[in-house]
Amino acid sequence: MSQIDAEKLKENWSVVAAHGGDNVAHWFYGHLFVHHPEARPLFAPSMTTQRDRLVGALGHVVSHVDQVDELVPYLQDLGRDHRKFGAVAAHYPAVGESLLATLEHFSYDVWTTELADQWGEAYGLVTEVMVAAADEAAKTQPPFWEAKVADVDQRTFDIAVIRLTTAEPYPYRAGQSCAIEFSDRQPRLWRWYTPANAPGSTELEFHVRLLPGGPVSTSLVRSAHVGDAVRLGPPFGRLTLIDESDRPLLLIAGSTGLAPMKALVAQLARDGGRRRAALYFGARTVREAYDARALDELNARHDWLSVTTAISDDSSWRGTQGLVGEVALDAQDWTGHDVYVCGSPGMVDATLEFVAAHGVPGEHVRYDEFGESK
Amino acid sequence: MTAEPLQPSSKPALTADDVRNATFPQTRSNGLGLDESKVYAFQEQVADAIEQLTQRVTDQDQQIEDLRRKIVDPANQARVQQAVSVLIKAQETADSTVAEANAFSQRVATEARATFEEARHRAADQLAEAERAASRAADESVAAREDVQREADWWATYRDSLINQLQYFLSSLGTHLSEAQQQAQAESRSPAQEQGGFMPPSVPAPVSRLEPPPKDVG
Repeated sequence: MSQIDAEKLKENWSVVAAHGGDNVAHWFYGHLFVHHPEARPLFAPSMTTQRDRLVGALGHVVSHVDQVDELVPYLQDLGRDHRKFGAVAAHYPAVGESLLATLEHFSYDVWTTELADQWGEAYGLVTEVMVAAADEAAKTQPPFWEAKVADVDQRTFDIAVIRLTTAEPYPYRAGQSCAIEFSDRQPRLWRWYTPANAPGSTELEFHVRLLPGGPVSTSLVRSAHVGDAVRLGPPFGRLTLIDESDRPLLLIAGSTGLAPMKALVAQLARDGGRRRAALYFGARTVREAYDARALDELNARHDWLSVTTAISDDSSWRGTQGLVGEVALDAQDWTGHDVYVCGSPGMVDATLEFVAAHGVPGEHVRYDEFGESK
Repeated sequence: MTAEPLQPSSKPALTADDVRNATFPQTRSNGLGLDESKVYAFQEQVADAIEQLTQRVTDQDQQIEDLRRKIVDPANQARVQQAVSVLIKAQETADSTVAEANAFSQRVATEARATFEEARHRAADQLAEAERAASRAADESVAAREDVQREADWWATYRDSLINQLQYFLSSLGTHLSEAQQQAQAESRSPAQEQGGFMPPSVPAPVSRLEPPPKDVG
């Protein structure tokens, strides 16, 4: 990207974005679908989230256009991930044309031939990286994995533990997430969940919490039946065991953030239980301790594992009370541990503050947030 | 702007000529193969159908190409812009409809959760109140029991005292009667009756209060 004037692109993008990201994205997709109506079926009926993602991705690319080391891995992930939508190399020129037309439309008088060339070159390089990554992935992986719902265990009215089966073992590392499409009921809407078991089998366990207004989570928790078809996108995420570490672990989970922690515990067990681990699970009420039996079984089965449940807002709970992050970090000195945190954004932010305040080095901390789709 | 189709039409895998020119090995068994004339007629039929379909596809591809040329024709850009605007409006309507449905779902789910939380807190409050009431009742029953116990203890002590008193009285009476009997027997053997008639000694009256028996009795 050495021929590209990054500053010119950033300046032009700021002019375009000033018209409103949603307006820009609206125009882009309108142009694309007028010229290529056959592309419309690749997208969900509502394009609100898709427009946000487009603007976010464009903004990220533009802001990092002169930071190749950061941009290339991002684009490679994007290229691999786009395969699950049915995107192929032939689509990229059409997208490029609509992108240039959109930039020109919102640039008004400042649009020049030079700018068009700059954007064309930048987009060409983006396409090259994305297509190459997709082609490389295609050698070893399908664009998505087909799965079937094998069991739906509704633990509360808004939390379900769902088991899926795949024809072949889904290739992920414990702690990684994947995008899920509930094909039978919410086609072309993908949401991210984390398997709660270690890889290696054709069964996957997911913990799903109904988000009010969330179409996919609502369908999964309230409408999923045995036999329903589901698709899984490629695995991603860094909430995995640090390969070169043999430090003991502190695992802090809030609500369905328990899923990746259970996967990590299963992986530790598979590795022989050579590393000690302390799992702290937090919920607001006793009712929301939806996997208590499994936690008790884990605690009883593994002498290298300790499990503590902390309830923050239920006077009927006779066990540990308080916010799980605070309870965990106050329990002992964890500076020599690898710390993993997963839960809602508020819970993760608060817990990370406790972690930092207790002197745990940042490079020993990994976290993931659950919440609304981004 | 070329507006090439994203996936250009591909040629059919089987053409009419393929069908017309297909040949089949002769059957070895005399009289057991298919009627060749019927096979050829069917081949011709299939070939005609394929030709018609191929022509339809070609015509439609041409129409699409004509439309694409119109779209990219600079003279039509105003109409294209209008089409884009119409599409945007339609998308906004679709987004709005879906957003309303999601908002309704969110409202219902949030209200359900709030109702549940309210019921949970109310149940917790009632449980706490029930526990407090039970605790109070337990305390009161303990106090009442203690009162009853004290009363019972008093009566038991009074009872025991009375028993002691009666026992002592009866014992004294028995002793006195025995002495009186002995005396009477002695007197019956003695003519000196003027020494005085038999009079039972005074019997101490039972005490009406919880007081040790008077020391001068017996």
